[in-house]
Amino acid sequence: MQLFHPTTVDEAIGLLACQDEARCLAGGQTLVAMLNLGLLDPPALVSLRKVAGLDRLTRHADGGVTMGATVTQAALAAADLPGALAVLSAAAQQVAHPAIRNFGTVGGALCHADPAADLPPAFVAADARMTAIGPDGERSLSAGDFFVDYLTTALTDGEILTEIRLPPPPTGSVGAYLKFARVDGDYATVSVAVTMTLENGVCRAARIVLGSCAARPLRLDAADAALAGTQLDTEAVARAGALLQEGADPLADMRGSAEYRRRIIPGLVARAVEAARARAEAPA
Amino acid sequence: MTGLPDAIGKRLPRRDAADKLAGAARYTDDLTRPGMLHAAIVGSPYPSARILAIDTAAARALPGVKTVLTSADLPDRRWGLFVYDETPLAAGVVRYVGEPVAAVAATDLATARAAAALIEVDYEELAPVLSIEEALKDGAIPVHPEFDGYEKRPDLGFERVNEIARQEFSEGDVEAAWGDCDVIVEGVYEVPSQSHVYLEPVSAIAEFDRAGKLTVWSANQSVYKVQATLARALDLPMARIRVATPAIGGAFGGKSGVTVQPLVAHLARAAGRPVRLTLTREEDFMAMRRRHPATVRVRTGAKADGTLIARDLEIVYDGGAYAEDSPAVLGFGLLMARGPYTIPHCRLRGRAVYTNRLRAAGFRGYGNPQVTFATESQIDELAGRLGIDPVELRLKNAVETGGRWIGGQTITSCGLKQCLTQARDAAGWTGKQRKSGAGAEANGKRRGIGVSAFAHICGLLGTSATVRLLEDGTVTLATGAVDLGQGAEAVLAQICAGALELDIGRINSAPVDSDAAPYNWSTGGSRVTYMAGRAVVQAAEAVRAQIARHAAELFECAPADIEIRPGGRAGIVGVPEKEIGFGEISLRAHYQSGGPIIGSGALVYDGQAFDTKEAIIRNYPFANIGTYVFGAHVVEVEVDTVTGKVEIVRAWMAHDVGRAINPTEVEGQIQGGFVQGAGYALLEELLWEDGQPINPSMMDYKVFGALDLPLDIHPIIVEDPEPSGPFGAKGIGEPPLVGAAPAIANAVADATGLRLRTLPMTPERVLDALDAAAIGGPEPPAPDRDPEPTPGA
Repeated sequence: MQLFHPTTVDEAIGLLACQDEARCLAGGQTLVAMLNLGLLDPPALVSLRKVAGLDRLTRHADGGVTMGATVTQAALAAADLPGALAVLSAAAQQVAHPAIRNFGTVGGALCHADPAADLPPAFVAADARMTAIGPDGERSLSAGDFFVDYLTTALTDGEILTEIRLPPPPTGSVGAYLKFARVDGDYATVSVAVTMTLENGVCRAARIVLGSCAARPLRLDAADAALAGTQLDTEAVARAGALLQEGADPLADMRGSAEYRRRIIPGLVARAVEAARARAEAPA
Repeated sequence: MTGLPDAIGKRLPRRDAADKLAGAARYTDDLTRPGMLHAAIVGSPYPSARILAIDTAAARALPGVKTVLTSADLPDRRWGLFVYDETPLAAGVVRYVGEPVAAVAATDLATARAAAALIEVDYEELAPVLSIEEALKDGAIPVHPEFDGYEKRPDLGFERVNEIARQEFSEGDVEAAWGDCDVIVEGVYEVPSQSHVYLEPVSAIAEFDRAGKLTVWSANQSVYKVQATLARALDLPMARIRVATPAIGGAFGGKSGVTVQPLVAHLARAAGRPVRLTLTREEDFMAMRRRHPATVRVRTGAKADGTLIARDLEIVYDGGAYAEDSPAVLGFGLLMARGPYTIPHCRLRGRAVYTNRLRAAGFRGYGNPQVTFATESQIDELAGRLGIDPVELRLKNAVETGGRWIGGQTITSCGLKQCLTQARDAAGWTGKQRKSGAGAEANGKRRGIGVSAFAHICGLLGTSATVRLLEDGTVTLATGAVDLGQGAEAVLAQICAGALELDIGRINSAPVDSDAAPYNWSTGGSRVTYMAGRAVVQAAEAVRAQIARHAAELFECAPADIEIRPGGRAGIVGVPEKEIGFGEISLRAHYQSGGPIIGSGALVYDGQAFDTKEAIIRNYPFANIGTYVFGAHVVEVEVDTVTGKVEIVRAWMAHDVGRAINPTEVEGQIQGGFVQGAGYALLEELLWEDGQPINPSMMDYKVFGALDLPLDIHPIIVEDPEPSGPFGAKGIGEPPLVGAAPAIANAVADATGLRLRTLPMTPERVLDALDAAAIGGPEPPAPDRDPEPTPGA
């Protein structure tokens, strides 16, 4: 196996194009474990660790945020992001353990596209825009479109996720991430990422995204619509939870049966919504 | 603690701690030998199959491969602890998934693993035995068709196919006694297979010198057990085998016998070079050991006033593919099955059976956690039916010093009642205990509190120690007690310092190496402080006597007029200025008179034997095993009605340790045991599907970490000195695990009104039970406590 250390995105794309099945290496927290287990055996690794600028997290004056793909999960966890974007830090704080977050990158976690991981649902809830650069140039796609299937993204061969852009969070927006797992640091049995905008106690818009409940982060327009315009009363929240429960298609694994996961969705959704609302009501 | 030497009861720091914290401690896998080869194994993919052929040609042809072994290359020599049924590599048939079938030694690890992958084994699949039911049914397939031909020590009487052991402890007349009971409760309890999950996977290095002497470095709990088994496996005299012990990263019973040492020694012999084998975590999960899962059927009866009258208990342990410790685990479980109570009529019977799953073995608790989960759950069920407070019911029936254990041994020290009352009072039990079995709900969570009381033993078999006075009056202590990470070295050094009234800084502890260390049966059975500690005291007393003789000669007085003074001096009684330091005496002994001062101590557990006139004791492999230790846990839990997850909120674990030689170490054992027991209660279970292990990794098999349990878990040390113990001390290694699961289950019952009789109480199991109760399922569980108890009813 060859290991390359490009210093620019263009160079990295060039290297990826040279060899079929070559993989990008960022923090290595999942990739190296998979190599150790013999699950992957790529002919070459293209490290993004020396690519200039990819590890930058930039706050814009309008409240928007741009982060490079190799921003570490620890850096995101420590970033005090405004409004709805708090969902990102909250999710990053729950990724595995500190030692892993110190190396693991945001882009790596998103590109691995494990629906049980913490960052994918949070980035969908935050309505992130993903910037991909490949041999055919640059394109931008929504987080919702980025995740395609288990461990599968919309990136084409030779494309690299370089940057994630978060739109300025609306005034009155809040975010919360609720993770239910067997033990601290485990992958989620079920997780719920919520962002919403509240105005005088009325929910103007909401995005609820479930982790570990489908082949990709699960978001349903109908569930989000069930909250919009309500005061987040018990019935509305229960309706959203029931819709998500119905739309869920979870796997069965050591963390729980598919039936169990489906069963706990409404209760966890209610708690996540409540946690988000509590943030809105908390003194700034 | 007046009258105790300075070193006893002190929170002294451990000498291995600095190296371990700095990452400087060297474990077996950190060691290397000149010319050392690296080994890899090939495991069976089937739970039961005949090996038709093994093609090793491609593996042998790989550059760098020095040796490939299959059972055809090895002598036909089996070993075991009671039944000699094990071989280093599967011979003829495989009996569980992961069983080593072939092994490779090569110049580097990657080559060894690549070669292992090239070995082709041709199997004929056989029907496996995958459960206790399948093992015992009429016409069951024998896991070991050649069982009758195996050597057995002792032969414990086997009545059915797949029985590894069948034992009984009984007293009184159970059948007649049911009529005297006002309340009888009955239940079936299922306990899971827990993995040891020691931090350090199994590892061993073997090397032969040119004179043919074998040295093995390995993680082990007894250099002597390893030495004895290697002697048998390799047909070598024990005198030609040295077993050494690098730092050990935990064992919990999983390294108490041999692990891979015989296989590595065979590889080293065949290759003519040193060989190291370290199992991957997955291999370790699949091919080493586990706790016996079991089914326990219990019936207990009491008078209306709470007096326990009768118990009938039947347990079947799944021993897996090889017998290992199963006969002793079974017997010990039965010895604990009456619980720490006086119950005049008991019939306690059990079996251990072979199945085509990983072998089960000793694991912190040794058969006791299985039994005690069932019996202590049932005591709470009884308390509920009787309308008696669960702590009061236990206190009413608790054994005391001078009382009698089942089998007839007299209890020589017993702090059980203090454990119960201290844990209860620390927890503020009275105010919190609810009557309805439906804890108040807040934010979808219900609180509950539960208690358990339990016993264990410390003792067992032989041990020895030497204490040598160095020329400057400092001391080298040698024992055979391997330190698994629990702190044996520190505690034994403190006992030595105490017995000689020396500062701990003057005690050196020798490494445990079979070439030099005095014999010790094992670091296991919660026995090192008690048994090795006694040997250390004996050895120190022998040194004191020699010092006194020298001092008497120097001062020209009778040895009886000499006293040993704190700080390493000997003087004449009543004459403070007449004294001499240990250093001067040691110099005299080394260079002038008498020879170097060495004291030794040696014993085999010498407590009272079972009384076979008063009790029916069938097929039990020991005549006595130890002195009894006691504990009580109180646990407060929160049950999440949304997810079913049980969170431990607070816990108080009171343990009678006779005397805490080092309270910090005792507290560490109590907290560690409780956390491992909480994992047994709530989280951990090795699982198989069609004989295939489905969670043999730390990704899928989880254990509790520091962030999963609250800081509010409080050890409480109770000291009721044991007359035979060193400074009154008894053991503590295992008991803290034993009490955790039943106390947690009883707290869950208090919170929810639901009695969960299957471990682990995973969120899914708890939610199933909550949902079943909510919709009035087919079998609504009986309430834990009668809402309106009728005293005397």
